[in-house]
Amino acid sequence: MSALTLPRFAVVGHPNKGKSSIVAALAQNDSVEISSRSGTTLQAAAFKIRVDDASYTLIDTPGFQRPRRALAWLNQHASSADQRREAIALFVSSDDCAAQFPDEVALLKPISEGAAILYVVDGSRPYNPDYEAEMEILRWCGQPSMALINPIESDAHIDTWQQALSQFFKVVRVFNPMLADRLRRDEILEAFAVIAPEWRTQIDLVRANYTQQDQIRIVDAGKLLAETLELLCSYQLNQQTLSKSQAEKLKPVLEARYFVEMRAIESAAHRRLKELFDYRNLDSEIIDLPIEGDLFDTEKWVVWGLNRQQLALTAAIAGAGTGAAFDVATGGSSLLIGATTGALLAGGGTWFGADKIARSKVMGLPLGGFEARHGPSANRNFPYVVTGRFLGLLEALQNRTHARRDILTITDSTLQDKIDTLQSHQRKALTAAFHRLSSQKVVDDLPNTLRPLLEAMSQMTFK
Amino acid sequence: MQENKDSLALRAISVMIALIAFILGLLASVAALSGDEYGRVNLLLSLFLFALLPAFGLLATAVFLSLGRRSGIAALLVELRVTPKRFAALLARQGGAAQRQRILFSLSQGWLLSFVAGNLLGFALMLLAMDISFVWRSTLLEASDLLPVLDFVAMPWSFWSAAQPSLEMLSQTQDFRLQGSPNDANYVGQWWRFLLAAQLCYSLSPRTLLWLIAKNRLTRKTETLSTDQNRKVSAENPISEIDRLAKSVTEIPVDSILFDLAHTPDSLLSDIGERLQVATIHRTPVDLHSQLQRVDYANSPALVVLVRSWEPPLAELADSLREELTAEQQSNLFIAPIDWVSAPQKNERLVEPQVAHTQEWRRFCASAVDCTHLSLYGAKP
Repeated sequence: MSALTLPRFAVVGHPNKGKSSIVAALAQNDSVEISSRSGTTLQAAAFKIRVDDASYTLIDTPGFQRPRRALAWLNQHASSADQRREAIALFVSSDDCAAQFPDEVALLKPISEGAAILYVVDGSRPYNPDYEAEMEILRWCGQPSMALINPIESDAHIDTWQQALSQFFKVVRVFNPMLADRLRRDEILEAFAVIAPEWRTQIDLVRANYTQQDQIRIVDAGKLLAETLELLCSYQLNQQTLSKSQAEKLKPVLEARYFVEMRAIESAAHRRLKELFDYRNLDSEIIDLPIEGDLFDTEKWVVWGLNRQQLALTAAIAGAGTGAAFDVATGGSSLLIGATTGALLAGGGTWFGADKIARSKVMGLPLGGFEARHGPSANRNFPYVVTGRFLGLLEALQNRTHARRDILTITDSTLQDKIDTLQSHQRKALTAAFHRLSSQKVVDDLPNTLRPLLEAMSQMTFK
Repeated sequence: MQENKDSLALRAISVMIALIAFILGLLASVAALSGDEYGRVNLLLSLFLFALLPAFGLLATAVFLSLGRRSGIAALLVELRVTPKRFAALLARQGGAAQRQRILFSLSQGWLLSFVAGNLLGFALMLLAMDISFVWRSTLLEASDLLPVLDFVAMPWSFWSAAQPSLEMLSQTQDFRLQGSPNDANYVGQWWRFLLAAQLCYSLSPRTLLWLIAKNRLTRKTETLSTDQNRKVSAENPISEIDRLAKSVTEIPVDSILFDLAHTPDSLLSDIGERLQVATIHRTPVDLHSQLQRVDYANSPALVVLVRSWEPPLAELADSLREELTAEQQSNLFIAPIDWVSAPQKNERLVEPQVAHTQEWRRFCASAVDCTHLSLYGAKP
């Protein structure tokens, strides 16, 4: 399918009526520049929205600046209705017009090249007949068109706008880009297909792919939450020292670093979740991750950071291996005496000699000492807290639109409500998984265990 | 930074384990090839170490890979807490489960490769330093029974004829302890090629291949994760907020001319007219351009244009004002953005325009026509 036959919609209108916001919300792209100042958009900018194998293009355009004069020019170049499209074509190709009416040329050019029209007005302010010149120009283009009433501050004047707009446009819809959830966006896409039936197949594919994308995002969010939980629940800081007193002095340092790094891990996960939902410039704030309890401990270590037990076990395995080589050499006639003796001698010797080894030095370096440790959190509630905060962000992202530029304040999701909606076996699996996580045990297939919870949350969000 | 420290610590432990595996491999080879006092080495036990065991290992790896548990036995060992706690903790901090599996798979292949390398070195050292006689013994099997099995084992290196087993070799190297050492010296030394080929084929080559694949996948994925984390969309520079704002006044000379471009409700417009004591009011001119041409500026001290504060200033207005007014007339031009509310059963009343709207119009006054901003909200009646 060539680029020109793919659905293309030019978002046009008066300056500062939320055209860029509508593009950002529909394109789910928070890098679209939005400003409270008029004239921010100086050139038409095309945003190709790809959703898997389907795509459509939204074109953000500058606002009308000289609609009456442009209409006067067009009237001079078309004496009857059949000449109007040609007059528009002449208008956008003329160098004189480009100099006199740069904004009108920039916004009409994509329409003259086949884009459908999305005309945006502010429904919170009274209808103004000054808009009729630009609506008349758009009518001259003869392209499929739709009007979007954007209730920027209120919906006080939507009715009067609807009456006026329906005289110029086949379809009129109310669309608030600041509150547009996926259902509202889907309604607009459906309306696109109504005004331009030749693009229906592609638009229906886009809608279907959006639904699939929502599901994929939930799966990916589950994987990310699983990774984050595993990381946070097992996170530990340690520092080796020569004596126990030195190790204990490290407590405040390790504690401070532990808190900072745990929060950094959570922040990184939150950033990745935002990116998953195509929020790349979204700032958010959240209260610090609560980490409770005294997580500090010290332990003796000998050689390579192993404790007495681990060192004895390692030595026993090595001894058994060496002894086994002897058994193999004798063709098995030694009846595994080699392996057994090797394991016992090496393991036992290391167990009883561990302290001596710890005190000895090789080339001036001690072979043993103490290890100061902070973490991991063993609090049973910790995985629930992390999950609640993660789902709080997920919920906010699903309810937010890419047109908003305010800072997102993340609040904990009410986890219990979501857990209550799960089936009994799903609840049990989740509880078992969280229990294992808080005991620093590996959980098999954690993403799939978490998925029902995320799906329940997603369904509650869009109920 | 912590991530780097963890990776380095993990690598150090991994190298240590690889070293131990290498030594174990070397010792295993040396032990297997030491033989008895006549230098006789059991061919079948050697085959167990150099071919059967690696083949089972490969099979286990294949099974775990097909089950999706890339870390296989190594993962089980971590799960069973046989490995040092420090190693398990370091591993747990390496990203998510999938990344951990990739790391563990890569490490375990490295360790196995070290074991195989130790095996090979031990094998080579023993061949160089000892006169090894490979013999085989069995109570139940004959040479003819064993040959098909060995032929099957040797199939992958069928192009290397010197390393192929033969019935004659098998017959001549079968050992019976009661007979002492009657084996043919020409044949007992020839089995080393077969055993070397078995090691290359079932141990070294597949493990090297798996290690390279695992390492490559791990490197690629780590780079991708790092790129993802560093990816940032550059934001457009915000428009400068230091633009010049026009002077704002609340009073104008009396007898001015007022143009209403705001479609102001009648009652409100007459209130404004009275308050400003204007001489003439031009209501919503359809064509401002021609209306401005008809004004008698000689008798008018100033010109006031009422606009809707919420509607951004258009270039069209600036064009008309610039074209029809001289610089002096522009200096006596006042633009008054207004906002109002309509209460039921009551007249409209002015409300304060939003700050952003006022700023917008003051910027327009300063940059487009060099006129003055007139604030009507809050002005004395």
